[in-house]
Amino acid sequence: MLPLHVGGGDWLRGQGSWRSPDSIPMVPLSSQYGNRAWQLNHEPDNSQIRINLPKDSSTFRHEEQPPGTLRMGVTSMRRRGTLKTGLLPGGNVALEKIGLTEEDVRDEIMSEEQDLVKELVTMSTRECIQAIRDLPMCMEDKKNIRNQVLASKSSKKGFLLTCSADCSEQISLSLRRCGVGLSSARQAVRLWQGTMKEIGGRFGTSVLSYFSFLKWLLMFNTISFLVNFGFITIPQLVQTSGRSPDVRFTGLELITGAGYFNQTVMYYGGYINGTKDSDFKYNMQLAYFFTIAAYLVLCGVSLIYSMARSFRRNFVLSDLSSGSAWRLLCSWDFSMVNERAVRQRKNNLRVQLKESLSEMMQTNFLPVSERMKQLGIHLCTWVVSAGLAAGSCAAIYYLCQYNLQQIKVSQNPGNLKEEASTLLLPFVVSLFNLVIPLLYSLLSKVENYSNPRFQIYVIILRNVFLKMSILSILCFHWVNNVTTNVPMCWESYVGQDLYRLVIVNFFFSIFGSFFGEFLRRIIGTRCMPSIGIPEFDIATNVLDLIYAQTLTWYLSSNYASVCIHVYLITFGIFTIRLFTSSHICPLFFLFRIGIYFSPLLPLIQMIKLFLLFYLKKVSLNRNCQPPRRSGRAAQMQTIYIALLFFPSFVGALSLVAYTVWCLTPSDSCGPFQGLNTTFEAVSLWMEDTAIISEFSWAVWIYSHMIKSELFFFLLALIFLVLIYFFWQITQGRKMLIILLKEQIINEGKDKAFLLEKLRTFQNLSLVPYHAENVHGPQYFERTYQTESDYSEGYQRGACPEEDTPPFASSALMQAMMARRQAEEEDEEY
Amino acid sequence: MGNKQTIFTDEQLDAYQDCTFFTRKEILRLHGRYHELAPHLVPMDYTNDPDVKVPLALIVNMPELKENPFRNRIVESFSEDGEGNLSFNEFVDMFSVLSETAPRELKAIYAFKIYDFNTDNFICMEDLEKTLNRLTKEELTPEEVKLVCEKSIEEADLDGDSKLSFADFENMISRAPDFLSTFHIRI
Repeated sequence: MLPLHVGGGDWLRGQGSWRSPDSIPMVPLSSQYGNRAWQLNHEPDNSQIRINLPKDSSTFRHEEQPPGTLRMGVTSMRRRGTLKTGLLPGGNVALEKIGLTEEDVRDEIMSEEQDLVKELVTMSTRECIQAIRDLPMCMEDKKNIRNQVLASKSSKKGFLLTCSADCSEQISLSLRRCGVGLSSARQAVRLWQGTMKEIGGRFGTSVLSYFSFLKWLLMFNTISFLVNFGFITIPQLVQTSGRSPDVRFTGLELITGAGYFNQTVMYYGGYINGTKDSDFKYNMQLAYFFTIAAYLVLCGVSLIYSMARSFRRNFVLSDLSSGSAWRLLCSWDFSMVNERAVRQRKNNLRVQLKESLSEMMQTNFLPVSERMKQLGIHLCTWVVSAGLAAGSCAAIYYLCQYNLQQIKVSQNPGNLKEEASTLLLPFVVSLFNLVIPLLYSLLSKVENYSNPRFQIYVIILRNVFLKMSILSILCFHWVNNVTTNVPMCWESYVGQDLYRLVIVNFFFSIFGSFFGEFLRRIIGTRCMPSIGIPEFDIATNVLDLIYAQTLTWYLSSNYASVCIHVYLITFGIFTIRLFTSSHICPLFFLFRIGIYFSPLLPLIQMIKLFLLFYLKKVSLNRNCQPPRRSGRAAQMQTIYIALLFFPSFVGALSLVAYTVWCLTPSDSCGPFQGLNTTFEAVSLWMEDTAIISEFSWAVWIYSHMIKSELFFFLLALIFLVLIYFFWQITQGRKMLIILLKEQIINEGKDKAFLLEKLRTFQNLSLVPYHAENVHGPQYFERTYQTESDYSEGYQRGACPEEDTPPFASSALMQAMMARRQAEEEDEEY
Repeated sequence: MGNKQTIFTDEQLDAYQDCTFFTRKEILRLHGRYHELAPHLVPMDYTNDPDVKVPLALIVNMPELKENPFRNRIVESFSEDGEGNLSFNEFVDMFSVLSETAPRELKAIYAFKIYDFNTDNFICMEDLEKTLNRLTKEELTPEEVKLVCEKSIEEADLDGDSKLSFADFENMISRAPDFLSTFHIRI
């Protein structure tokens, strides 16, 4: 193999069989000419190292991957950039010490640039620009390369038909300018851009994520609203433009949602399936059904996609999130510009580091009795929290029953007092949602968790459980009792309930920020300074947002958006004081519940969000400080998305399915009046289209696939088999990762060993002439690529403590030295 | 848009657009900020590529960088002369890499440069100690500092040379999903 005889490879550990000879760059070099290269060069008056190397210098190049493949090409370009930037700064003096002139290095770099330009020219314009942007070089070099690429591209095209080439060039250029113009126009209309920059600078990225979530929700609601408005409400408005409702508008309707709003397009009941006298026939039933069904499907798909992507990114690959290395190098938030915030952050980091250091010192062995005690405490707290949840559910259920009784008993439906009394239920629900999580966080203080992250998860779990149970009780009540007992339009009644929940929730979130932040600040600074200024509780607020959103939706689960949303929001949700950490599911759930019964809820939500942004911003600026703990936001994100999916989406889906398939729509109102179930609209439609022969395929699909159970059974079986296959693949890949990690370690040791050997040999050959030079420490920087995609080399063992040269001499330079030596020797012979 | 500006030629703006992650408007705005740093030094007319460098002391006083513990290192990593004096090209380059749309790999390269205080292309113990001191205002005892740095190297060093090479650093970054959003300066 090498003249520097590796000694039988006794230090080569592990899976030696996978190592190709090419993985060590020195191999081709010396294999060309055996031992001659390493003979001593006796030129007393030449201080240059003579290296004999064939002119074909590509042998010691590192490009072992085929040029032009985009992904590898881009990474190799990146490495080339580092070659250049790593070599030249301040390196001249040390270069001469080694005996290479600057010209040699420059030549090397020039030829690499040529290769780079050649690769870039083969790509399309867009990829080319992307690749240039990704180069880690300075602007001058990038511009240089870009100009070269453009020149060679145009010269290439010059041989073709100039007219068509010119045209296409112009078109692509104008298209690009257009695209850029669009994106800058989009930036110009960005809402709240300055405010968000200010918030990000003062409080950090995690708090900012809450506000970006809010903005996103606003945008999302706008889209929801437009879609619903376009497909459902506008046709309805057109159809009923002549009618005017016979109840007067009083101010209370804004809160209770009943009365005047009852007969407008606000609720399900205001929609009818009538057709105008003209030829325009709009099947409101199908429109209503399919618009909302499409929403649901889209949401489900994008939710699953988002969850899977988030999971892969944040859980599977990352296991360093609590380590010191991560904390030191990856956790500092560069976007913070406020002095106080920065100081705060530094303090927090110091505290965290001290904590982790003390954890390292401690041993965690508890005696058995301690452990039993801990277990007992945990059990008690779980029982208490379950009890609280059950208690609140029962209370709400009885309240609902009472409400129904009131409605049956009431003679005068327009009575102000009775309308106001309908507000009692949402008030109680929101109160429970506010107070019980506080109790939960108190409980968790009693318990003693070794892992703070685990503590957060437990709190979240409890809160979610609470919310979900409250919501399921409400849904149960709606589905079972309301449908049979309400004399009027039960769908509108449910819609009103939801509307009231949304509005009251809004008020509670205002009060929540008032009490949570303002009062706590007063208490913390004036009365009990030990508590201090409150932090902006991201989790709570975010979950509040999701809550409200959930209330607004029902069938139209734009899950995806909320997911992607939650994806953004929960970024940075890691504060110790998660005191109401999960309004999440119930809210979300309710939001999605709402849209079936009241298609205009997105509009209300939009107004709410708009107001909330300014409210929260003011409260934040006056009352809060940045959160203490940062990090692991991405993982919390995944948790939240998963939470959204499992209880919320699945629950809503089942509820919707039940409503559509089994419940009878009310007879007196709504577009589905007269049918036995909502789904009958589709069956009737299918029967109608069966008559038309062109659509018989659609009817066939409907009757044999959607209505048959065998089809779904087979589908499920196929999916199970696929899941099993993919699971096996992941197992295999896990093994591969372990093997590759070992390979990396071994390869590093190989290289260090070989470079050490090379250095020794060169020292031996140079000792008569360069005694004063070679004692300088030499770091070996390897800038070529190997299978393991490294870009820096190693220094084996202890690095010398003497002054390091201003640059690192690369293995490349070692090779160039060897080349020189070989050349000189050739000349000699 | 389409208002005529005389600071750059169209070709220059196209070149900037192709080489950075900014749009025309943002580049013009950046030029405004750059000019504000040293109004007597920086010309308003860049059509003939003047060779003007704003010194380090003025750049680190920008509000975006003033409170950053690594401000000097950031500016030095992007300057050609290694001293921290930035020309406009380097200025734009710096904010382009630190912008939202820059890819993770590019950011990792420059983050590595920033944390490599002695520019030896490794993050060794001294580099980590300096980083830690800047992050904690030197309020940890020397033993604690040493302990933390040793633990960090132990965790992140894959090839066993008791320093972090770029590959080790990149490996660590790839497993930190928040890196992209924390290594970001808004301008």
